[in-house]
Amino acid sequence: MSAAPLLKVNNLKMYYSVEGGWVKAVDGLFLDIYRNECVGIVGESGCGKSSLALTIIRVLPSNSKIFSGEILFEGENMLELSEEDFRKRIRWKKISIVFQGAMNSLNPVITIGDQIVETILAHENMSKKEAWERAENLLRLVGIDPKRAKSYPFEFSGGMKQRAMIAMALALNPSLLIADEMTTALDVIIQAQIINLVAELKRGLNLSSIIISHDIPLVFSSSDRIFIMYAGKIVEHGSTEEIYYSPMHPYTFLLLDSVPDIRGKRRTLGFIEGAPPNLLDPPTGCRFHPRCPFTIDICRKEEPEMSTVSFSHHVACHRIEEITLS
Amino acid sequence: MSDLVRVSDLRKLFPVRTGLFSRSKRKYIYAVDEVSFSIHEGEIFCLVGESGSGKTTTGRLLLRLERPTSGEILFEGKNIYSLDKKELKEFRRRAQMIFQDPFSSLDPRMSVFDNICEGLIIHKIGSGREERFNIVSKALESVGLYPPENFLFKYPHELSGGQLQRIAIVSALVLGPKFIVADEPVSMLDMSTRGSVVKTMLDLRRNMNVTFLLITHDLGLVKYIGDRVAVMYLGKIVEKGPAEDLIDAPYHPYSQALISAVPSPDPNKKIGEVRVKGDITMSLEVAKGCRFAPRCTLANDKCREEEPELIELSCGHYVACHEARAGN
Ligand SMILES: Nc1ncnc2c1ncn2[C@@H]1O[C@H](COP(=O)(O)OP(=O)(O)OP(=O)(O)O)[C@@H](O)[C@H]1O
Ligand SMILES: Nc1ncnc2c1ncn2[C@@H]1O[C@H](COP(=O)(O)OP(=O)(O)OP(=O)(O)O)[C@@H](O)[C@H]1O
Ligand SMILES: [Mg+2]
Ligand SMILES: [Mg+2]
Repeated sequence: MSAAPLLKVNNLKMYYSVEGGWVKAVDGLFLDIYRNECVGIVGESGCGKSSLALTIIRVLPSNSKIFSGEILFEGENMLELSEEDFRKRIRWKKISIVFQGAMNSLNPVITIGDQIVETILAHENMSKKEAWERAENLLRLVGIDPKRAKSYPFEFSGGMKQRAMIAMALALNPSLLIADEMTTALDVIIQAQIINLVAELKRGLNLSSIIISHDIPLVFSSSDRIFIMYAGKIVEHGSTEEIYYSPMHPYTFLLLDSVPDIRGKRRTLGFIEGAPPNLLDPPTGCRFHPRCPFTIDICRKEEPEMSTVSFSHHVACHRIEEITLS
Repeated sequence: MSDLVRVSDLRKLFPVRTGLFSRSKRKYIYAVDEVSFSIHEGEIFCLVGESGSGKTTTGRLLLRLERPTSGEILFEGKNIYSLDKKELKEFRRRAQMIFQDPFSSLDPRMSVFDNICEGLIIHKIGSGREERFNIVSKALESVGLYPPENFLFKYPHELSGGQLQRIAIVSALVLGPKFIVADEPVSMLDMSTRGSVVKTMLDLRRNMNVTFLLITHDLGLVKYIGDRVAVMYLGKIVEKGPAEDLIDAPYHPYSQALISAVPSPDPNKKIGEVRVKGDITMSLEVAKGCRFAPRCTLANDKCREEEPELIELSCGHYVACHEARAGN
């Protein structure tokens, strides 16, 4: 790890306005990613992962509001850039994203090839022919026969559209790729090949990436560090080994425990008891306390601070001293 | 057990656009090619396989959302293409699809409640808004969307991926279907939430004898809830058998490659191993012989010449491969 992070998110708060108040989707969040690093973010459905991604790439809906925080990319606060500046210099070129549900973000009336070419030509000075060649190459890299570049999105399967969007996100050699459920629509062989492709780009072109996924085996087998998110906050982060072999937060522990291993015996799928928090009115104190088996009084009242377990491993829990999870 | 759905020699070709200058020779994609199988009543029948191998197309054909090029589909013994108007309307309620892409399966201009209600109104389920409100609220709770009032009046773009996916599931469930084609229904759910959705599916099966065609890339899910599974490769079923058997001991080299590529969460084991040759690019031309031969590590001359048929290697476990042996 080099000294300065490529991306650093400080105390970010981004809420959505709805009838009845604010949905606190990202609520005082810290995150850092170094050059040449792959970071995984995992957490329950609705905990704010996509909201974080959309805030970083600045494509938020009109009912959203950023209340505080900084997003430093190469030392520059992205939240202070004008939209024009961000679009010209950063979005797609420096930071690109594969949106969750990307298969739905293609334009239905333009062929797949043309869409990739348009993205390339909007940012790079090259001939249409060169752009086509690059587009065909990218399609080949994600496992689509370039002969099918002239197809419209409805002629592609779900996973093929998904791969077309991955090709688009890689088209301008970004330094940071945000992959929000990038491979969920793909079979495991193609998934492994896409992940290997991202790993090659990491080695060859210093691509850093943020992998957001519910597929814990996938995230753990491809990330250097893991961030565990719960109700708009990071509750634990550390190297993949630390999180896998010695999770400290009860939520992390339960999350990992619910992962079935395909190579083991058939068994029922795991649950975490209780309902996920309502982000309009999140629980006081530690947000996990209503569902945590180790809750004591202080957990209900005081929000736990991030404490240091090791140089790279941090956790926000009042009870790490007393409970040893095994 | 009686068959709810019976599919024979199903085939669907799509013309391909390869550019302006190739009009001379029309090319086709064999999206589904001579596929036959049946689904028992109350069964969870799974369809897995390579991206683009024809799973969604098969599901759509079964629900009459697409016309087959050839072949026959029977639902409760009746050809779904010879239903009269009244029967067709009833079929439209009794056979539901949960679409692969939740982001496009809901109407963005309507609230969640109105989206779900539309089906209830068309099929005259529940009388009045209040009764429907109760039906929908209960269904939301059953998939972990709690409290339901927080979701009912939102618009699709105000929901997370996993929340949307569960709304799509609920829209199908509230109509009281007998048969559900669930195309990647839990792909955007974390393990814990997935647990509650899967439980809801299993309860439906137990209490109402609902039958499922489950299309998924999640082989763990197949192993945990599937009764039988079929593996597709380029439009063909290459292997079919009891779910746990097949996942634990697959016969076909493609199934073997697929299952060994499932990653393990243990960071020291790194990503699942990939045991196929060649790049992943699928080609338009369908080769003679076995379709998997160009990427198969066991392929010999016979494989490149002769197309293997599905044969039963062990009890209820079929494979289409010249080289497969029982006990491998
Ligand atoms: N435009 C919006 N207006 C109001 N609420 C919103 C909006 N977009 C998202 N939300 C809410 O914000 C919360 C966080 O959503 P987000 O999409 O970030 O979750 P997520 O962690 O990505 O979940 P998933 O894993 O299901 O994709 C959810 O409760 C969601 O309902
Ligand atoms: N309307 C269409 N027109 C032309 N080609 C189509 C059409 N629908 C599907 N195809 C092609 O048929 C093949 C099978 O597609 P299908 O959607 O059934 O795959 P799938 O197995 O569901 O894949 P995935 O796992 O990626 O969703 C693909 O090559 C696809 O491009
Ligand atoms: Mg999301
Ligand atoms: Mg599909």
